[in-house]
Amino acid sequence: MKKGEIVGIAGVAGNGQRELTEAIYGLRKVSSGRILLGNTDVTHMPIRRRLEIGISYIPQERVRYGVIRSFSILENILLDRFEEDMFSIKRVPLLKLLDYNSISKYTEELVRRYEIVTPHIREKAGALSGGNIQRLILARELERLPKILIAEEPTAGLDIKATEYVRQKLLDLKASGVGILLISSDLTEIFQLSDVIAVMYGGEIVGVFKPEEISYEDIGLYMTGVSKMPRDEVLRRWELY
Amino acid sequence: MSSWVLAIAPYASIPASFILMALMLYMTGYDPIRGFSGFFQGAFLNPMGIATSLARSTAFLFMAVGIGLAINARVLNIGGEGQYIIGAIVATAIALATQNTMPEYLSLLLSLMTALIAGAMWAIIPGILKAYMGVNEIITSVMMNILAFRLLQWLLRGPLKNPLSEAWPMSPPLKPMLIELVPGSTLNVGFIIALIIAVFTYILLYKTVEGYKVRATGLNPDAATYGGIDVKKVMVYVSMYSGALCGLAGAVDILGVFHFLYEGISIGLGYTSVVVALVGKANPLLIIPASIMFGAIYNGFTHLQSAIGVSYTLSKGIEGLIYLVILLITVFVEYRVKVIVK
Amino acid sequence: MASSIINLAIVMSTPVAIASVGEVFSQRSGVVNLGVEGIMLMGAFLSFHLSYITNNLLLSYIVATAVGTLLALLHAFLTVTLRLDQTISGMGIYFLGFGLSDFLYKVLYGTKYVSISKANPISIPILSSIPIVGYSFFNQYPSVYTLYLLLPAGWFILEKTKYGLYMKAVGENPRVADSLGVNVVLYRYINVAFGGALAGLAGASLCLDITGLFYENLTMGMGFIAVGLVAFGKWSPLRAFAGSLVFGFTWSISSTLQTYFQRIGLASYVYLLLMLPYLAVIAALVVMSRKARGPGSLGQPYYREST
Repeated sequence: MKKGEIVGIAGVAGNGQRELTEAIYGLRKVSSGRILLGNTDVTHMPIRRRLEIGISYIPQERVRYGVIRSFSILENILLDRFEEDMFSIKRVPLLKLLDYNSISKYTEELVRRYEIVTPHIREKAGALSGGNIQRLILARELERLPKILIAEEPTAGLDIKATEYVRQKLLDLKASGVGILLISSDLTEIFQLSDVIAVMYGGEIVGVFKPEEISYEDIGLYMTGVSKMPRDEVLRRWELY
Repeated sequence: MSSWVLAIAPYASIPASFILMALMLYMTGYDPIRGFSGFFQGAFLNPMGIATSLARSTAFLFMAVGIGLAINARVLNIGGEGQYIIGAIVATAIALATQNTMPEYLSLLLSLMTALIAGAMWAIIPGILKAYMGVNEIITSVMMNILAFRLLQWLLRGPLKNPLSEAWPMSPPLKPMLIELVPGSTLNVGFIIALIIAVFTYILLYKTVEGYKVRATGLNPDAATYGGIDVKKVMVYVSMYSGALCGLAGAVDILGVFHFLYEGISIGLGYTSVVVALVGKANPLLIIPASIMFGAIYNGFTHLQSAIGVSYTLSKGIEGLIYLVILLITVFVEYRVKVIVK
Repeated sequence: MASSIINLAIVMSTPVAIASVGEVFSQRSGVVNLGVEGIMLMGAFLSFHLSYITNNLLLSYIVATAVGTLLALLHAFLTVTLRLDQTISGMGIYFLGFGLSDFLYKVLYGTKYVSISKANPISIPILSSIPIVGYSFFNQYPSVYTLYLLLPAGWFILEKTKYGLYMKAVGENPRVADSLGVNVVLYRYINVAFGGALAGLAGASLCLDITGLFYENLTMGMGFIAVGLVAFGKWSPLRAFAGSLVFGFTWSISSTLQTYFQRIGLASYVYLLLMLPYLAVIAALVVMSRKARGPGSLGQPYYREST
């Protein structure tokens, strides 16, 4: 992937997209091949390290994997960012004391900007509506200023206003140089946002296209495994795009 | 439903258990009123009684705080019994070896430190087995408890045997090393240490990154993993922490209260401490009053014997029943409330 | 000598095995019952007490089994209907069984040393004359023969009957089972109760066949071992039995060695020998539990409406 590029993964659910994202994020062991971020080999890095060097992930099953419902909104913002210096007071050598003061201010700011509807930031995340939980996760992941963002079904279940907001945010991120891996079952979304589309079928990438050069029907053929690009063609196009 | 109600709900079990106790005494032919007055007098109404109550609560405090921390990560440390015994054994051994050859404070420090480590090591086995192999930690912990007890039995008749006592398995006596807070009682500086550790654990749990990881692991291990927390390591660490505190409890009791090792040093302390931790809702600050309550109950029961002549075994039996009632009411109230709220 | 070791091994395995088979059924339907230890203790005490006052072994067994069923039904109520955490409920039952049996014994018997007449081993004609094997397997207590019958019966119910099929479905995926018309709650209740019945029976067999007396914590962890063996045996009653044999054999061997140790003057080391069975259990769990995957819904309460 290139910097400031959105790669859309099109494909019927269950064809390897999940495994791909899990491998990139660190949830799944890789048996062969490598994953490189710039020049760093992250293939076997623990998740915590991958987060540190700039990989962010918005999982599809947000409520189960993206938030801790019994935690407050404030505590959820910390979920993959608790190691960050701006959140801790470094007085005691071994223990990292959390600076709830600065965390609160930061959370208030995010709640405002992302329009998360809640009476106060100490409200439990589980009390939020689905759309607001999504905004919470987006706020957390996008504001981390990642280098790579993996977004799985980012607009599923959102209303029109929220959907537009998210899509715009993704484009903004792209403009600021973030590489985005977009997985979506919504073809319109894939076509609208992606710079390059890769089709997955049966665990493989069976096609690489620019959105303007293929139609919905034709991409459907690749998605269902009817058509298939030969491997060197896939690689050639990927290099090209 | 305000969290205040949830916090004090377990204490509603106290009146219920007292009624039960009165009933039990009455049914077994003892005068409940005199029994009660003996109980209260012994536990609360005189300085010596209060001191002994607090002394007894020291072990509960250490252990319940440790177990409570682990509960926050959804690791149930049932092995407190065994870790306490191991701590006591190690402290005895070190004290015996060094009490006449080293300055007192050094001997004390060494004993306590090794007991800490020994307790952590004893607890690490169920912890690792749970985290990395998915083996149920309750079963392995119970096994470890039995192993510790057998070890104790062997040591008391073998290497740690007191050559002067043939009939009763016990170790040679130890020099008292922990400063008494109330002269003549068994209340020692260990109580202060326990209080400090309770406060420290509170800060650890709620104010630090490590504590955040522990709580996240307990509430949603999947989300915690996605957030970059190594859930397995957390589970092992909390096992070690609670094991260390239970071991320390054993050491403090040996050096400050008993002054020699014998078979009956822990009868159900580990399991009762789990109840204490639950009554304290796994929150170190709430566990402090819970431990004191249990310490007072324990102390009060020893006075039942002298007050109205209840036999040792019977009073132990009633005591166990009381702990049971407290546990059941605590669990029931807490979860019933949650169900209603849902 | 060999046959007496085997004989003793089977005897010692029996309570654990019986309780374990019951727990297999409970867990296969999705419910873990950690209170088996407590139920066994109650079963043991009640069988002891009843036997002492009535001298009727059969009645004692029956009462123990019945009370075991009741205790398990309590657990089922807490976990299936009220949907409380299975671990906590199980531990509650454990404390209940432990505390109650201990208390009742102390109230009724105090510190008196009381023993009851144990059941006698029954020798099965012809079969018991087979060298070695005969004495080991067929000169046994009634509860052991019960186990011999339980094992194939349990296997048959699980694998060859409709009941077994439905119950496994409830354990694997209650939502699907429910949508197909299987009464999830009923199947769980029945299986948990069955587990409790066997646990009570196991406790009775420990007291009536093996020890002939009762004291605090008579079962010494056997109930927990029984629960652990279910995972060890990958939720099959036959494999759980095999696991219980591991326990039984180490116990038998260490028991036999004890008298030898005492003779050569290493009396205190006897306690180290007593550690062996428990070490064996831990080792067995480590070896076999490598992320064994149990029934899909094990440990989770079932909610009809989608959450």
